[in-house]
Amino acid sequence: MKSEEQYYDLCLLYLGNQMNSEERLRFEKELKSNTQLSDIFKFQSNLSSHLREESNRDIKSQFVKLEEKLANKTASKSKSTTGKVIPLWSKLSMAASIALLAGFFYFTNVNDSDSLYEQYFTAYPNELIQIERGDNDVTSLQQAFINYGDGKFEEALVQFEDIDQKDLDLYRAVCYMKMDQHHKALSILDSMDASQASEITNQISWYQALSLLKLGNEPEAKKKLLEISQSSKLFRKSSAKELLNTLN
Amino acid sequence: MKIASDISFTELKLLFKSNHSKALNAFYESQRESFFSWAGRKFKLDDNLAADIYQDAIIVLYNAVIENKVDHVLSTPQAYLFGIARNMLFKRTERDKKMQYVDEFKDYAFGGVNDDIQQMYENEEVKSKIASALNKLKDGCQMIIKLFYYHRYTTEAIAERLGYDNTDVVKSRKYQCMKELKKLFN
Repeated sequence: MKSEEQYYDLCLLYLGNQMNSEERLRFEKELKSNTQLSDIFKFQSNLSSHLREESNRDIKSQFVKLEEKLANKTASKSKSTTGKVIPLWSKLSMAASIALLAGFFYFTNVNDSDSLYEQYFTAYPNELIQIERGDNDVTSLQQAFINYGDGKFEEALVQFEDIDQKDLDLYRAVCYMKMDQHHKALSILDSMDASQASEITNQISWYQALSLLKLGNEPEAKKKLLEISQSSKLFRKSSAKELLNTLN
Repeated sequence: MKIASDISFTELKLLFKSNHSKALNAFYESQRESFFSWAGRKFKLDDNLAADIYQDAIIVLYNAVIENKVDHVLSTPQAYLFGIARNMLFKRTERDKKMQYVDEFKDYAFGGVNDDIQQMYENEEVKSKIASALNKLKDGCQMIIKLFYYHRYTTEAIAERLGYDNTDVVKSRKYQCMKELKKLFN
């Protein structure tokens, strides 16, 4: 008899095509006779199908935005070359033929602080409280996190400010960053450095580095990234190394 | 992140399983030029349709890679991608002729040995109940479930991304989150 956790892992191996033919047949046989396994499998199959659909939609909209950006870039480059309407594939061939010039623009544009900031910044996830959406009886803290999760950072910030809890500081700073008020974000993060719990030091340094980068203070941003890359904690360790390499 | 146009499936899988969003964008950029040039030459596609097909084909490829359906494929991701796109174009033409609706992604998905069994257990009502249970979970838990059970991130990559100090914490967290989700579902 296996534990529930082992059944979850088995289902994951099966759904991920990570079983050999013998293991697969054994699994399928057990699926017919073991109701606990069959129940977990049904749950996990539907979960992964739902997540796949959700992820496909997210990726599609991510690509639509990216394509818009890339097409604009290509169009503005070829505009200076000709006034005629030319299909994109043809524009791309032309762009390829002026690869040296394009390469120059690529490196001067892509590596600037703003685009690196956009590339690396994501709001820190709500790790503090559970939210029951649709529940009429929400506390002010839950409401603040609902707004935070929905991307309404200004409203979330106002609500966070009314709650006297030190562990909300990181979320307050992230709200300021989303509102492009990096000096305010940094003043919160700097004050956390001295007083806050040691378990989120990488998180603090990471958001400090990004705000510093956005403000154009690359040397200080690099110091913070170096701290993360040398830390024993894992949060954003490889992202910090990657970003450092890009900046160097 | 930059990806070479001749990247292998093994390398691509590693990138997808550690930071899928950035890796997908980088892969998109790495193949775009040759794809648009090929689609324009071979099929005389207009820009919008070419982009639409290109995006859908990468999504199909992504699902196949993270679900380990291309592990024994000898061809390159680029050749596979173009193959998917070609099939999509043919099927679209057929569909337009018959005026039929086809699920863009499912219809072109790579066949997996377990697909039939999985489909037997799938149910729209269960899926929508799961979606609402998932919404009630804390963000951190939602993210662990998505990254582990769908995007198939390694526990190391999850620890790095979500700030857990070691992989053992991730392992026990993912099980707790799954149990919590199951409780909300029931």
